[in-house]
Amino acid sequence: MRRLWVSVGLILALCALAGWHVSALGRLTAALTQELEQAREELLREEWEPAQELVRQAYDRWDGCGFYLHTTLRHGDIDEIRSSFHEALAYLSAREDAAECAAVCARLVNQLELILEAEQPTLKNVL
Amino acid sequence: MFVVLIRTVVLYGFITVGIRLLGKRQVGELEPSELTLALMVADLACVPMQDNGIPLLFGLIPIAVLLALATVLSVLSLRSVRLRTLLCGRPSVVVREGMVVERELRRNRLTLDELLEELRIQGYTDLRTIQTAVLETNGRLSVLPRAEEKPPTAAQLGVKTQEPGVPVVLISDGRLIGENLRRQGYERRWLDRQLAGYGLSAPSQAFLFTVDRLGNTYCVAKEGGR
Repeated sequence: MRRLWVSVGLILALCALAGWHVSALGRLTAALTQELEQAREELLREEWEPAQELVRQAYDRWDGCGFYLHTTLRHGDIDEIRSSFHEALAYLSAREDAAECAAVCARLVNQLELILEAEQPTLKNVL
Repeated sequence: MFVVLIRTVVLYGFITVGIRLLGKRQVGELEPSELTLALMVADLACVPMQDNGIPLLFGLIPIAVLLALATVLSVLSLRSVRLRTLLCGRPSVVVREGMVVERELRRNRLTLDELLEELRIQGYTDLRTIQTAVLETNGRLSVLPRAEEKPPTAAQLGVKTQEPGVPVVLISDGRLIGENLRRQGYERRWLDRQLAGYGLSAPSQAFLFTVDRLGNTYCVAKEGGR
């Protein structure tokens, strides 16, 4: 009987862990999306300084969760987002093409939405 | 992570049902759920091992879920005969009173050739000598011969017998196992005398030496050891 409860407990613990993961990833991507959207608006007004600050802040937040992200998500997805961040930061340093930089930010937002969506326990993802 | 977890449960259920529907002869010596577990765990362990881009958790979580599910199902099937029948099926009588039960053969997708082959492996060449043959849930065939075909036992013949027990190894590949010697209540001098009887002067010359509860010894000398 103990084996049964240990097994049921393990399944429930893994379900709880998976639930926490979806929630934590949701919070992280929501915060990043908000910062990147603000940066995009600043870029459309050609306000380079605050935009750079916001993207840098978002990147630091993303980079700070590196261990958690590498242990729970496919490394290919994480590397893609990291590359997009570097691309956006390079545009911001050059301060030449605000529209292109805003497009990179929009792509980053889209990539973040996609990794969150892929973790949602929906029928579409299961199938 | 949730998706991986749900997919694992779905695939485990799907493959278990699939193997169950394949019939007993495909199972080998495992129950359908055990075979599913063995197949899936072996494959899952390879995924993160081969691809560094996949987190280790993607392999560990499904394996943990599978082991937990298998444990839950095995405990529940111990308690519920109905669940056990659902998961493992029922044994099928394929030979009754020396007659092949064709319907059961078809139901288990077992050909006549395969049945006869299995019976030959077990030493039965004449179906008339078989009272019952049962295809067990793990895919193995159990054969019960007719009463008149069974070899008589010592008890039936009224012969008094002594229980020799399991022979204990005292010398293995030239090495004396002192603990076994002591446990059997013998001394080194007794062993030396027994070895001398086989023409050996030291344990290092014996490849195998055993003794049973009645004191019967068996010895194989090492090649070129004398």
